[in-house]
This record gives sequence, C-alpha cells and structure tokens, in this order.
Amino acid sequence: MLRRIVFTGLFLIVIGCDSTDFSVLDTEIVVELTLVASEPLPPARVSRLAPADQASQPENFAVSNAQVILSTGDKDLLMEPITDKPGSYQYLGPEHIIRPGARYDLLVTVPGVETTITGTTNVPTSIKILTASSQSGIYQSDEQLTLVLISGRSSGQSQSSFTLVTEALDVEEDGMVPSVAGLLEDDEELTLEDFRVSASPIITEANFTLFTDGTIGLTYPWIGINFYGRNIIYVNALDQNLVDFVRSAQLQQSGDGTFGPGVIPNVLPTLSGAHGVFGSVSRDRVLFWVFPPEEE
Amino acid sequence: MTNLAAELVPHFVVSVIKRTILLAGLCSVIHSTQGQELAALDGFVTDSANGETLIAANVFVEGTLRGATTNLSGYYAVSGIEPGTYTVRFSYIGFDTIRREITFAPGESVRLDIELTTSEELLEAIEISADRITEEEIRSIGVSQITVATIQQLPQVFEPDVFRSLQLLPGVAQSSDYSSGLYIRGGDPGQTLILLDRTKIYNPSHVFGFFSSFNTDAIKDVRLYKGGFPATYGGVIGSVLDVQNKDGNRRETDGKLSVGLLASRAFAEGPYSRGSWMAALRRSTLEPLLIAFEDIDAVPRAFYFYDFNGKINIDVSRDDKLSFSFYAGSDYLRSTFTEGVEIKLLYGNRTVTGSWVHLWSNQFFTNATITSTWYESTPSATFSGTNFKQVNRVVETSVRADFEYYAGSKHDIVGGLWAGIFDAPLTNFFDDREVFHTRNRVEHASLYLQDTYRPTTNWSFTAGLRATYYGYGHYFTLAPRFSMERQLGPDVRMQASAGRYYQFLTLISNEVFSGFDFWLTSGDGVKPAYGDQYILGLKTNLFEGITLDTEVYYRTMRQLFVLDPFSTGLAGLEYAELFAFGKGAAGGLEIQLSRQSGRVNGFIAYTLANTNRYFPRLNQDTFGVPRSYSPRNDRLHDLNVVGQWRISRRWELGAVFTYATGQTYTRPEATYTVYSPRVVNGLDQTELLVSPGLNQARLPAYHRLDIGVTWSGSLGRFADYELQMQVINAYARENAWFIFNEFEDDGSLSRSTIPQIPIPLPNLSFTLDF
Repeated sequence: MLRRIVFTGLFLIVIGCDSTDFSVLDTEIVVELTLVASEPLPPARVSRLAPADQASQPENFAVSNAQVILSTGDKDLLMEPITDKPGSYQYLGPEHIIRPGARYDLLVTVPGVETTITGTTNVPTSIKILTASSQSGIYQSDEQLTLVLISGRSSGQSQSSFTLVTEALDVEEDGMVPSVAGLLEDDEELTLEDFRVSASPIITEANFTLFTDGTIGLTYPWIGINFYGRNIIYVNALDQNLVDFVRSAQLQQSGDGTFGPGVIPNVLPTLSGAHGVFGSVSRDRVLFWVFPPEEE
Repeated sequence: MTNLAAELVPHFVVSVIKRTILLAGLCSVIHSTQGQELAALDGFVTDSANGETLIAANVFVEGTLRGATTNLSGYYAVSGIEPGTYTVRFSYIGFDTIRREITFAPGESVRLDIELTTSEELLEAIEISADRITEEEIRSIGVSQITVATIQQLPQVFEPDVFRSLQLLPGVAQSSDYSSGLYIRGGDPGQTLILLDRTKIYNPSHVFGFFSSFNTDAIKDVRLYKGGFPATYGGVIGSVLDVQNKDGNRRETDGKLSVGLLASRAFAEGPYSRGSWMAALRRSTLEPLLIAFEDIDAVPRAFYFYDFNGKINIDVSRDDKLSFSFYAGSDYLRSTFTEGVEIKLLYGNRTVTGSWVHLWSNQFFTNATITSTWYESTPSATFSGTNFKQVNRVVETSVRADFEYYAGSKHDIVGGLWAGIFDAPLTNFFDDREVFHTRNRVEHASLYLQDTYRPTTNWSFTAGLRATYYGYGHYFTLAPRFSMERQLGPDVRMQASAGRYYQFLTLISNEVFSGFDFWLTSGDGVKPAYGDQYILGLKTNLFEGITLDTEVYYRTMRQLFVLDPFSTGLAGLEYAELFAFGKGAAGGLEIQLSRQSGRVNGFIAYTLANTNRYFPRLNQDTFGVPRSYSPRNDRLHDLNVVGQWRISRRWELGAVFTYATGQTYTRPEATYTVYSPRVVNGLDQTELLVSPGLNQARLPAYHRLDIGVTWSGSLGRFADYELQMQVINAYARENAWFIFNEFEDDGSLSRSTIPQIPIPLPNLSFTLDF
C-alpha cells in the first residue's frame, strides 16, 4: 500500500515534469529602420541572422530581394534595393521628410519566407531646445548646463523618454577628462574613438523639472562629457519601439537588472515576424564648450 | 480627548485580557465538566547545564500514547490522561532521557518543569524507545531541522553558516558557491519568511549574499518549514525559516572566542538574579589583507561587516517570562576603480523584540510580542563628478499575540493576531537631485485560528484559517490550511497537507549581489501573489536511530509580480507599470535518510524536482507569443551526502558531497547587428544575441566535496579549545557558474565559462570555550 503511494507520487512527478523548451528560432529575418523626425527617410536594411559560432560579415547575410514598403497613411513608399549596398533599401521617389507626430507602417516580404513582416511606429512630436543656460562651462563646476525644451512624445506614450547623446568634436588625448583617461590607461584595447560619442541610458521626463507651461528643465550631468572642448549634445525623444529596443539591448549587453548571471533575454520585438528594430525619434541639439578646471 | 483616550485604552486592554481569561477559564470548565476523570501535565523542559529551554523536546506518557512536544518557549502540555500512575518520559536528541513516575488524581493538573542533562556517552547511539510517537512530532510535514552543532561542524566556506547548511537539505537549492540565498521548492529567496525571535529580517546577508547574517554562537534553534506551513505563519507563498536566539546560561557565566580567516567572534552568556543574558559579536577581520593588497585596483579601499545579537530574559514568576532581544548587523564597502570613480555601499538590519510568555492555566499558554525591524541599504557612486545614490529602507513595527489552548485529549487549539505597519521608502538621487521617490506605508493585520483534532491515537487532523487585511490596495485574503496524519504502524506515518498562501511583498534582488536588495509591495493595480501547496509525506524509522523521510509536493505560484527589468527606470510610471506579472509552478520528490546520533551520523538528501515560470513580458518569441521557462534554480536531481565521524573524544571528521543537475542558462544560437539606432544609443553598431528563449540550455552537472577535521581538547580548568581545518572543493572541480558571451572582431561569438570556486579552498578556525 505504502509502496504504491510512493511510486504513484514519483510517477506523477516524473510525468508532470515540464522539460526545458529547446524549440528552434522562430524566424531568421532581421529588419531595421530608424526614422528621425523632420529628416529625410533613411535606408532600411534587411538581413538574416548569423549563426552564433561563425564569423559573420554583414554582406554575407544581406537579403537583397525583399519587398519593403513604408506606408505613411496616405501613400505607400516602395523602398528599392540599393545595388552597391546589399541588404539596403531606399525610397527613390521625391524626398520624403519624416513627419513629427505621424504614424508609419512598415511591410516587408521576403521570397521564401511565408510570414509577412509588419511594424508600426508613431513618430514623436518635435522636440525643441528653447534655451540653454550657457554656451560653455568649467568641467564639474556647480554651473551645469541647463536646457529648457519642448518635449517630443508619441501618441500613446504617457511620458516622454529621452536619451542624451554627446559627440565630442575635439578628440585629443590631452583633452580627456580624468576618469576617461584612467579607463583608457587601464584597458589597452580601448582607443580614443571609443569615447568620442557617449550616450545616456533612457531617461523619462519625470527625472527632470516639469514647468507649468509644459516645458521641461533638463540639467545635463557631467558624466556625459568625455573630452574638453566642443561637444554637440543631442536630446532625443524616443518612440515606444525605440524605448523597448534600447532598454532591452542594454539589458542584454550589460546584464544588469534582476536576471541572474547567464540569463539573457531577447530584445523586445518591435516588429512582428522579424528581429531588428523599427522605430522613430525626434531630436534637437546644442553646442557646448567644456573647459578644464583651473589647477589649484 | 487625549486624556479620555489615555483613560479608556487601559480599561479596554484590561477588559480584553479579562474576557480572554474568562473565555479560557470557561473553556477549562467546559473541558473539566466533560472529562472530570481526566488529568493533565504541563511545564517547561530545559537544559540542566545552562537552563536553556529546549524546543521540540518530547514528553511521553508511557502506556497511553499521550504525549506532546515543547513549543518555541520550551513549554509542553499533555491533557486527557486517565487517572492513575504512569511513567512519563522526557527525551531530546543528545540528552539523557528522564523517566518520572507520576500519579494523577482525577481532574488533577500537574505542573512539572524538567531539566535534561547532556548525554555523557555521546559516542554511543542514544536510546531509542519502542514508542517513538512523540519523537516523530519534530518530523512534521514540510519541516526540516538542522542543529546548530551540525552547522558549526560542517565544512563551510570561511564561516559556519545557517543558510549554506540549509542548502544541504532536500528541497533547498543554492544558486552558486557565491550565494547563500535559499531557493526552496522552486521558490525565490523572497518567498521565504525569515524570523529571528519572532521578528522579520528583510536582508539577512553579509558580504552581499555570500553568508547569512546569523551568528551560530548566538542561536539555538533553526527550523525550516519548506512548505505546507501552518496558519501560525503567513505573508509568504513559499516557506518559513524560524530562528531562535539562545536565552543565555542560567547556571554560570561562560564565553567563547573564535578566530577565523574571514571573521572573529566573541560570545558571552550568564545568569543574573532574575534570569539570564546573552551577547554575541562577530566582525570581519580583513583589514590587514586590504592594506597588504591596496595597490591592486580591484581590492576595495574599505570593507567590513559585523553583527551583534543580544538577549535578556526576566523570569518574573513561575508563569511569566519576559525577554528582550536585539540584533544589529551591517556591511560596508568603499571601492575606487580609477580616478573620479568611487562606489560606496552600506547596508544592514536592526531588530528589537520584546516578548511576554504567560501561562494562564495548564491549558492556556500565551506569547505576546512587540517587534520592530529596520533594514537600510544606501548604495552610492560617483563617476566624473556625477553622483548616484539610492536610499532604500524598510521599517516595520508589529505586535503579535499567540495563544495555545489544550482543550482536552482530542483538541489543541492555537490562534493569534499579527498586526503592524510596514513602511518602505525608496528614493533615487541622480546628480544630487531626487529623481524618484516612492513610499509604501501599509497597515496590515492577520488573524488565525487552528485546531488539531485527534479522534484516535492513529489519526490527527489539523485545520486552520488565516485572514489578512493589507492596507495598500485594501486587500482582504482568507487562507485555509489543512493537514492530516495517519499512524500506519509503530514505525510508519503518512502525512498530507494542502493550503493556500498569500504574499504581499516582492523582493527585488540580484542573485549575485544582495546589497542592493529592496522590497516592493502589492498595491493599487498590483494584486497579492498567491499559491496553493499540496504535500504528501511518509516518515519511517528503518532501524535503530535511522529514519527515512519522503515527501512529494506540488505548488502553484500565481499573480507573481516582479520589477519589470525592461522598465525605463522607476520615475514617472504608474505603480502597476513598475512590474512584470506572471506565474509559476513547482513539483518534486524529496528523500532524506538520516542518522542523528552515534559515532557516525549524518544524512543523505535527494531531491527530484521541476519548476517553471511564465512571465509574458520577459520571455516571448519574435511574434510576441509568451513562453514559459525554467529559472536558474530548477534542477532535476540534487543529492547531498553529509557525514560526521567522531573518531575519538578529540578528533572528528566531517565531509559533504554534493551533486546536482547543471543549472539552466540562455544559450544564444544566432546574432545580428543593427546600425540605425546609433542616433539614440551612440553606438556605431549594436550587436545582439538571439536565443530560442530564456534558459533553454543547461550547464554541466555540479559536484563538489568538502572535508574537514576538528581537533578539540582542554586547557585544564581554564578553557576548552577546538581547531577546525577544512578544505572546500577538495578535488578542485571547476563547476560552471555561468557562460559569458563576447563578440569577437570577426563577428563570431566566443563563450567563456565563468567558474564557481575553482580551487581547493582552505579554511581554518580556532575557538576557545571558557
């Protein structure tokens, strides 16, 4: 009797085991297209996944016979393959400027692939830097650059999401800020070019000062500066697709968050039926001079 | 108004106490009326050497099958004894059994406090009586226990550790050699309620999760309810760890000094006119090493941890005992990596507990407790003049009142109230400005009632109900619990239990580093998690002193809520938007073969288990279709063999062997590169990994052997000494911790195995016991 109970329990557990899912990858097509508000429609790219353990040159995985259509709502823009850039597709009609606040739908079909790839982005409204507190500043001084801006936002977003991208124009070894110089010194594989452009993680508007007139006050942190001299600071307002993509890509690359070590999430899908990214951004920029602090 | 309230409140309290006493008295009268011929026996069981109350000691009225087990206060009560003369047996593993002949008159209540003496012949197997019924009480369904002596003797990494010892029990998994986190029956560490002297501890870890914060010198009992726990406990859907501090020696003042590689400990205890006291201090002693290696960048500029346990007992009267216990522990780290980059972390816990144990009659026992627990973690970093800081705090003050009513021979009724205020502010600062603040200040209250009914000597049924109100979101939950036990023969018992459990908190933790741990609660739009547990157990005594315990369990985890890892930070989101929601399930078979006494003792613990999670937000395919996945702590087989061999009075050998199925991990099968996001992430190209889903692959199997030898002796009348020499990972097994993926210049992916403790790790400690 007892033996029967034990073995019944054991049997139930064994048959109840839900073994790990070893299913194959669901699609191997990769599509990318990032629209920038008020700028011309950029090329799209279509490719295939590369096996993880093999060397992968992008041109070897390009897909050049896809049909790529971007729909603006009132007309379809057929993006043609660029012959000297395998896997790239460009709209050859009259220049199309991406409309802030508009919706764009992407439709991609690849011969031999049954699934039609679709995606939608709602371009954020225009972002506009209204004022900058200063055109220059002393590194790590209390007088930080403060921007007042009109926020860009996509339809459906409850708040704006930003990244700050800083591009140094004076990339010189003796012009590096101390912490970056230290990092360069500690790692022989790093070069000056690795620090030319820096970007923040995604920041939501709740991180900044919200004024009653609807504008936002943004204090630029010194951590974004890698070089003294001229720096162009871009303020990007991201649509939800880019928010999902950037955040999940960062999570995959940095491994932060509450996933355990070795647990790697896939990037959140921004397209149906393909890997990659389809999103949009609205951006504005300001030039800021950074001077080193005076030596004591 | 205030004066009026001041007058009314004491009247109200007195009134409630009077009503309770009257109720208890009424129950006693009813009981007496119904069974005038029956007698009762009650009292405390203590250790004669130091007066410590003994928890789960057995009391057995021979020839009647009537018995009891002492509760957490060392109190027992046996009722329903037919008048007559009996031999009453008091026993506890490692102590000499005492037999007392007692004559019970009709209706008589006998109070008998008993002191047990440590067995002088520890080398011999303790006597095992043919009647083992009461000794089986300790082996309740879902309960595992490991003695403090065993914890202190096991080979362990640097320090004797409660959590790492518990990881050897069936159903308890470890995540890695570097973590003491408890993954019990498929649950995460946040699903275990951890109590020290009836007070919750929110982050009981040192060295960022490497050790638990319980100093083994200070504690006397460790009890783990792996599942199916009674209505006495609530607030979690997984398990309960109930740790009791020592009371302190009531006979004489003594102490202990220990010096180890990582930390040193000091312990003292003694009597005073009205009771006893105990104090234990532990502190890391790594400063000389930090100074010696200060030129190495990765070595912290400062690091220490400490903890302090204290307890004072006041024996007010024979029926009244007061106790006050304290705990404080903290870790501090300061590290600089390069110029302008500095990281600091301070985290720790404080608890204060005041308890009043009162015997209203030999049938009515109460324990009233006021507790306060405090946890704070303040990680901060400075990078190029930009400051990051988080202030994360939990403060909870609660009152708890429990009663035990021994209502005749067939019913034991327990019940109680647990109410408090949970306050958890969390504030993030960026560049010296507050960018996020949330404060969950929640009132909560629970009432529970449980009856254990024994219609015959072979059957026992327990039914309980726990009702909880949780203020944030105004949730009211009812959690029924049932269990039964059938004595199938003198050496075989079958047990079963089923119950529903609710959880209102979620632990946001990083498996690698517990120093940033914080808690969020259910609330508006975030329902409490709940789960059902079903357990079937078979407890047998195979031979003299050898037991075989088998349990099969299945549990569900529903409405789980975790911090959404894809969230873009905490600022500006609705509360429910902070979370990813999901569910899970776990099932398993646990077998433990034990020998708890004799020259050679130990246990073999085997677990066959499966667990899974389903979080649509975290694991979905390219079409957005969610998939379930196996968490890292899922492993099919887990085997631990723990042995201790007392060679002589001076020498003892110990060994622990562990084998486990390799942990799950995510194995990327493909890669791709995109370029266009450079406008928002500043990268010329973004290289990405693609896998069929989370954790679809497994690491190689884990196995490890730890060995240790203990040499003990005496320095005359001054002190006893003990030298422990241990080697962890004796045969240098390179167990994989995780796989690190890195893109090569040619675009291929290289995979590196990051090992757990890869080399034999020596450990040395010296203890003086005076």
